[in-house]
Amino acid sequence: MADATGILVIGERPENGGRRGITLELLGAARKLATETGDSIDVLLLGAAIPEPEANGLIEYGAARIHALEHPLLGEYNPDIFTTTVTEAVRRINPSIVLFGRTEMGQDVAPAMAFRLKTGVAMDCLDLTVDPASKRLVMVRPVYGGNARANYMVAQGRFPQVASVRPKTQDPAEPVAGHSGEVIRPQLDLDASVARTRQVSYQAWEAAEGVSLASAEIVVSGGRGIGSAEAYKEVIDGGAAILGGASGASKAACDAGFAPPGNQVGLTGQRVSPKLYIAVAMSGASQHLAGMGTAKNIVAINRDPDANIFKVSRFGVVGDYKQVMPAFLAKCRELLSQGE
Amino acid sequence: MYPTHASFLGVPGALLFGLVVLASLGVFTWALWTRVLQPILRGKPDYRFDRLPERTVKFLVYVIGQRKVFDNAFSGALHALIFWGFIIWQPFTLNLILEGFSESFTLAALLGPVWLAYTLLVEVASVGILVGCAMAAYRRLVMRPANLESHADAYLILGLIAGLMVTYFAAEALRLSLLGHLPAWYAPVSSALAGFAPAADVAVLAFGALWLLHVGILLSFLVYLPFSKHLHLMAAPFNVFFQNLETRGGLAGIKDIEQQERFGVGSVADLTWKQMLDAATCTECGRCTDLCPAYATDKPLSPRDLILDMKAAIAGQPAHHQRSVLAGRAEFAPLSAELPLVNGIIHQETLWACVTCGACMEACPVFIEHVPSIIDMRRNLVLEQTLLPETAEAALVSMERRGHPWRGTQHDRVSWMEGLDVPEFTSGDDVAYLYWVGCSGALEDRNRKITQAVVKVLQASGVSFGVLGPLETCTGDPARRMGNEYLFQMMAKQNVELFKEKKVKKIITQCPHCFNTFKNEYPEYGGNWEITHHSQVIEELLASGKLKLARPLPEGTTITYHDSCYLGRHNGEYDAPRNVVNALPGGTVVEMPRNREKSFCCGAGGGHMWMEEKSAKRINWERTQQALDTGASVVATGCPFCVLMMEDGVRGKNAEDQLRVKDLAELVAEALE
Amino acid sequence: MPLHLICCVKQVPDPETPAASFRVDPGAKRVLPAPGISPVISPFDEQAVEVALRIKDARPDTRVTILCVGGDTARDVVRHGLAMGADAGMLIKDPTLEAMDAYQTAYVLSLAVQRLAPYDAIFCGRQAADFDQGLVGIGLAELLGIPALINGQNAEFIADGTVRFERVFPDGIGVFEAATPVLTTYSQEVGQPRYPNLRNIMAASKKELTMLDAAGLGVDPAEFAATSDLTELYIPQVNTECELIQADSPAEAGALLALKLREAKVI
Repeated sequence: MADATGILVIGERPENGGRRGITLELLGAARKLATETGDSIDVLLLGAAIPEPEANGLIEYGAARIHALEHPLLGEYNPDIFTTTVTEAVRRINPSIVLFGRTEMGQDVAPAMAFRLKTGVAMDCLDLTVDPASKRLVMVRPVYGGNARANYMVAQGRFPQVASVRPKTQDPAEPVAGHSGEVIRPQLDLDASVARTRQVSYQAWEAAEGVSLASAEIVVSGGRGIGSAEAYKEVIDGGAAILGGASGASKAACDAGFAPPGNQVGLTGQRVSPKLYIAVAMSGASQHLAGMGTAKNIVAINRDPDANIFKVSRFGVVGDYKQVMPAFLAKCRELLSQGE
Repeated sequence: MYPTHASFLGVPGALLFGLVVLASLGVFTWALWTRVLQPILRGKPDYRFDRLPERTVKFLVYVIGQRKVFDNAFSGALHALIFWGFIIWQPFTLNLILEGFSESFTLAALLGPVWLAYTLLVEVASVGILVGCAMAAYRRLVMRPANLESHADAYLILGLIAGLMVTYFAAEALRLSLLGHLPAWYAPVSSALAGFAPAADVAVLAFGALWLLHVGILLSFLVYLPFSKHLHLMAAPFNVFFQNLETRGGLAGIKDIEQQERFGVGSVADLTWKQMLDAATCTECGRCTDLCPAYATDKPLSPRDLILDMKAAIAGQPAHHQRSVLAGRAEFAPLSAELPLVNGIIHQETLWACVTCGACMEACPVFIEHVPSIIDMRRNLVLEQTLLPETAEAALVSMERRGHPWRGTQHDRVSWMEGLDVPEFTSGDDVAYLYWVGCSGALEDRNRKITQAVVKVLQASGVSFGVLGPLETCTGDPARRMGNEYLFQMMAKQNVELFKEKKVKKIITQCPHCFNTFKNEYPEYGGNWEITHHSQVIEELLASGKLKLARPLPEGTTITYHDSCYLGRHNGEYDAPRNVVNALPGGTVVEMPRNREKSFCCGAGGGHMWMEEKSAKRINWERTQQALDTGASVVATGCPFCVLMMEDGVRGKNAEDQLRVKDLAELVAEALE
Repeated sequence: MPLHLICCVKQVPDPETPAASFRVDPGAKRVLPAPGISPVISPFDEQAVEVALRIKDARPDTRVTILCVGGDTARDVVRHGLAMGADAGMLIKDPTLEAMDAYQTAYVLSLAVQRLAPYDAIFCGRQAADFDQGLVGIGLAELLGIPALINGQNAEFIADGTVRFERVFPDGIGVFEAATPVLTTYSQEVGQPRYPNLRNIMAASKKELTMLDAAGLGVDPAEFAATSDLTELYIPQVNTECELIQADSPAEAGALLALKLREAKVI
């Protein structure tokens, strides 16, 4: 595949469990890369039925070709079927770069596809750049639980260069006036026997009140210093409700029973990249930073001026959260009620 | 006069009487053997036969002198009256039995006037016993202390004792009136009662009946004794004699741990003979439970009932003590004889609730050693059954992998030194003291400030010291107290090795737990150094004038000192920290009602610094309230854990404006110019 | 038929190494060992071992093998698996097998697994705590030609030849079934791995491990090629300058903070 060219974005669609928004984020990243490599951008969409406006609608975000693969078996997500379909499409399109989101699908398909094509892949990238000399893709990703960064390149001569990108780390593509492209709907032969695993049931978590952590734009999060489950409910859950965000917690706060385990943010919990992360009474252990260090704005409230969390925060208040938070939340409520 | 001197259907009464006495002795001996002596003889070894003169002194003070019993004045007094009376009564009892056989072969007949003088003593003692019984009844019926359980057993025994005295006085009054020896100088009480004596023929019959009743009560008492809490009558003197003579803080290790088949105590068969004796000795007085901070905060632990359940299990008759006393605090399995001792008869949550503060052992008038038994059982839970709270496990794993229990810390062992000129400990030949910072002092945010204060104070007084920095690791104390003896021994051996290499001679610790472990537990692994706690060093520096405090405390400061269990109760150091507090310029010092020996734990001991406290009531909040109640503005302590627990308590009670928590070193550092 | 479960484990620098002790050698592109902190079994791998042992708990004739590629100290993580209750351990150790990429690692493991065959299932962590890629498990399955189920919290054998697997999704649990042999990977939702008891620790220290090197394993140099290169390893610069809100009281600081956030258009 030495003559591989172009950037292929593996789009996602809610129909089969895909993550809303990731397609535009990947397109944003692809457009940035394309300015360096001069590549054109293709998008791959999978589904039982992909309406024309949906496929067409991506063109104005900078895609040259939308490959809309339709098959009844693609109506719901199955790792084997998606891996086979994507791998075959990539062989056919023969791109230089393939971008996945590091989503549920990305975690299955990107590695499996890369191994089938005997090429390299980097997971959970925060940033993608182009090496000026070789014009090859440089994939920047967190390692050691976020304590370090590593740059990866796919081995010389191997194609495509595959990256999966952490959601919410890339600015979504903006529409480009007058951009043109086409929607291709190739014929797809797919045999159900490809699927070696099958999903027999799905048990959704009890619907958490308000916004889910993964998708929240604002996260109010409490550490061990919160001191009790009651205080967590009042200040963190209460604060999240006022700000229209989700509640998070450090591992220590979950271990101590202050917060439900599902709220844990960090190395061994959920990884979030919200617009605003309010860290209340938490020290900022690196395991926690691994889960929220990519938030756009971090705000820390802590009694200890030496707390590590201040080192990564944009704004900080040194003081007891019990005194700071009520006033803060009251003011927020007042500001929010005034509107923009 | 004596019914046993007659014949019944041709059989001599004395013979029948002799058979009854023998039968009673037989039942008594059999019960004592099967329930107490046999288990003790089968118990695992525990060498307690050294230092006999010292043990004899303990015996005299604590058995004969009843020293500990008097810790509670009222019950002490009543107990002493009954106990001393009981001792005095022994020859008299023997004499009463002998009278049943013949009036001429008795001690009274043999000793004549000496016996009469002795009788006077018995009269006085008997009055004392009756007063004691009345006080006991008053205590149980009217005063009703919270943790004194009044089973039928207690009233039965009190009734029997009082009955013995009443029958004695009545019989003696009749005897004196029949003999016409009135008034008898040697029996003033009986003589006074003799005025009520009936006519001679009735008196003879009444005397016989009363004597028979007295002896009957006596023999019943004998037979009943091994089955009741009054077994302590037999066991307590031995338990006092064989008490632990070391400082209470040290726990004995498992010897040759790698060769063992079983670890710790999991069943009755694993108990040492001394643990069996402990169980047999319990008087059910409840003083341990009264002072237990875990019990006071609704945890499923009552030290007394733990011992009583051990006792019942030893006798092969699992009983209900914890199940009834701790109802609702833990889910106990239905009782059955098949339950194993640990995590069966004794609930694992009971064992994990202990903060090893030693208040129970301090309170126990008969020197039962609750905490070592609890740790032995934890050893079984951890090393055999791996049943331990998740949080405890996390701390142990952290110690194993990172050499400290402070999971999640952002610091390493040198980062606290930033900006300070802290000398490295090179060798004991060049530097006088090794300042052992400890895991908390190096790695925990709040405690690092204490470490920095200690350094400031040592430097201000020109002490020659150094720190090990990255070479430091945990002493292993939390591992030992959380039952992972294997991990403790590995860490201890590693540290002993390091200290030998560094030629350590004298150590300053700021953590009483490190202090205790070095001092009392490392000698078993070849570590013998001079160990001082920073409060002791500071006390000495102040006394010698090397340390001068100039800056007075803020106007109106009132300080109360909170005793760390591992400095105070476990190592007897109550004064050094208080002397330091008293030396602070300005300010007044107040004591909490529970101080020194009776101090209330902060709740962090025994590994609880890293364990989750599940009950609504928290030990540290309780102690914080006690500090708040004194009206003090500062609570001073000498232990990093106490500082954290008390600060948490102050926060929990929203009392940050009223009470600050400070280590002694911080207060001293602030008072430096 | 007794089951045979293979657990792939990796030794990594302790993920809980405090930031203060975490150092990188950018030249050698490796992390320097922190003083006093021992390398550990990668936590997700430990959780994978836990799930395998839960299956063994239910079916005691199950055989659990710990498989590891690593250096001298990697023996410790194999022994840790044995102390937890696994039956046998295999350690692949060879200087030429250090600093492998994901493809090479999966390739070497696939050779080892073929040695250990027959097997019913392979257990891996969802990702190793050093490079956090999450590639080797799926890659190994691809090389062996078996299905992979990832990010699990539990697995059980419901009938001979069928594994039921619970995968954790952000909003729920999906239950999957697959015919054996199958590769599964696990996440923290498994819960705390068991704490080894002392008897097992002692027994584990006495067990013989199967040791193999590259030649013994039959590594084919043509096949053994990296598909990706680590070009740089560094500690990210945090260039946030924290603006501390100053006010007369904590409450005022709180209110001021809200105003600042509005000013910055964050709320």
